[in-house]
Amino acid sequence: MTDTNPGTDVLRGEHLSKSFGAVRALDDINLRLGRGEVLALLGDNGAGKSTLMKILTGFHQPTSGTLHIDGEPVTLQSVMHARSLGIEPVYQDLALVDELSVFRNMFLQREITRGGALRILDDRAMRRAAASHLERMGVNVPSVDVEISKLSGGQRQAVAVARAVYSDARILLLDEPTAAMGVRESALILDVIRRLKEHSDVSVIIVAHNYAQVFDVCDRINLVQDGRITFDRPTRETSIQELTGLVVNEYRSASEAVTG
Amino acid sequence: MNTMAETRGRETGDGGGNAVLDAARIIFTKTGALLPLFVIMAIYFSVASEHFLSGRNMSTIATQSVYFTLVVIAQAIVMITGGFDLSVGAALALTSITTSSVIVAVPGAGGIVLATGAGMLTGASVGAANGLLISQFRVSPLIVTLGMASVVSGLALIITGGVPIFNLPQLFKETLYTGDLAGVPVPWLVVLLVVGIAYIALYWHRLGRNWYAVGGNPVSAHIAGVPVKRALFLAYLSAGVLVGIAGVMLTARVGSGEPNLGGTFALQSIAAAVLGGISLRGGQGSLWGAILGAIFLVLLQNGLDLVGVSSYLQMIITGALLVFAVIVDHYWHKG
Repeated sequence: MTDTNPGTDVLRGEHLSKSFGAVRALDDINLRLGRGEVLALLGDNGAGKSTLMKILTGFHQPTSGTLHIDGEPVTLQSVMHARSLGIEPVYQDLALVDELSVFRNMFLQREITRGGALRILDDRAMRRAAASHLERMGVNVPSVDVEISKLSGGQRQAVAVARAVYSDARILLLDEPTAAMGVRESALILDVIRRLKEHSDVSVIIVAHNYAQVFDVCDRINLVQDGRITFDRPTRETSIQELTGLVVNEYRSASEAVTG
Repeated sequence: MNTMAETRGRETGDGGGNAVLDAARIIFTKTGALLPLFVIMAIYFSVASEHFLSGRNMSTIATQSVYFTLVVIAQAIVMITGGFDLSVGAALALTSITTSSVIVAVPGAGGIVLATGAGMLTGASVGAANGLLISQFRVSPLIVTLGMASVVSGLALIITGGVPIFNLPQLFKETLYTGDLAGVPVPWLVVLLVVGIAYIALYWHRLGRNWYAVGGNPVSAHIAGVPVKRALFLAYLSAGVLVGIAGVMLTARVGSGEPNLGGTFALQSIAAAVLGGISLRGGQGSLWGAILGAIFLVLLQNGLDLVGVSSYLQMIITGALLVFAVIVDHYWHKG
């Protein structure tokens, strides 16, 4: 599944640039994501990761360049439009409603109903479906009736990922999924992603600045520096040491440029 | 301790003690500060007044509860979405005026039907105006409904010149107040029907789930695809319809169109809802809690009347209770 060729790319960005006034946030980015592939977008804050993500979610439109989904050129009009094409962003804090239970969150706005035209909610069916789906994805929660606010950060994020997958997402965009989380909590989410990789052909883009955490789970690594992708290689052909070296070098040259 | 009780229950095969404990805990968590207050109050009033627990008084309380419960359910719905409605009292008054005006103008049974429709339409219009302003223009519910209360009160006073509309036909009262269907008083039937519909909307239908979601976190709800504006609008509209029904029923009871009807309902309905566990921050609380809160306040007023506490002092007590309930709610939902 990790071997991808351009023909099976589910998502491709060609010569993507984005300027905000005089500021060039993205500069001629070429991006590709294979079916079932987990791609890590690494880079410092301000490198352009967030802008790139916002283009992929349909929030921003690129100044120039084109996006292809399944080889077809598309212009993402809005977040809803992107979602209708199977691109599902998972937000760290905003993915779930704290006050609702796990299963109610999972089925929010796509509730299972019965009773024909009356559209009575079928809580029993939703509980069952939520429980079995979470189990398949290896997400452990005390019960699907627990309020989200009672879960740990890792559990929440895992439920959010499970929810996105359940909505028939084909491309998951995870923005800093392990930010502000301990090792054990991060492991919860990384496990879910790993399992996703084994059992489905959902493609995932993980945006992170802590590359050590996501290194084990991703198939390919892109380094975003200064609005450009400066490094693109399968994970097995690189190492944490090499990545550290690249980042340190950039840091060094940046400070040299400043100190002149 | 809990586990011990559980094991013992399983061993003896009944589990009765544990079930009671669980039920108590569920009621307690769902209704916040209400349960201990309820118990203290019931004990105090039954000791202080021999009439409190009499069948006659209980029947009075039940009838009194009807109108207030309707308004508290309306209040609870908008509070679940994270707002509140300060215009319920004023909407009640305007409803009373339109209902009375129509009934005086159109004689006979047809007039009653028309008047009831006009009353509900009045409540619905006020609710729709609130909902439109709050959902479309994102003005805070505090400002919208406070302003609306003033506008609607003013309208009621202009229409009537400040004078109540008298001489409503006896048939109106006999139908909607003293009337009964198979022995069940009409006001009770109405409230039962409303509770049933509210329950279905809140717990069996997507709309209710959306109300809870919007109240919990409007941004997350929006991201999940919930039509936030629509849900908000429908919440205020539903509340308006409920207030309209309450206004028609109350007009039948007092037998006149009163431009000053429901003056204290806004504060009292919020107090009852919060006491019943409906959080002011939205997304939390249940229909049963709200109903219990409504009955509690009616019981309290009735008991205070029986004991001879002046209505001025009762105002102080209601206000203090609201503040107390909000503080308890704050700590309860924080932990």
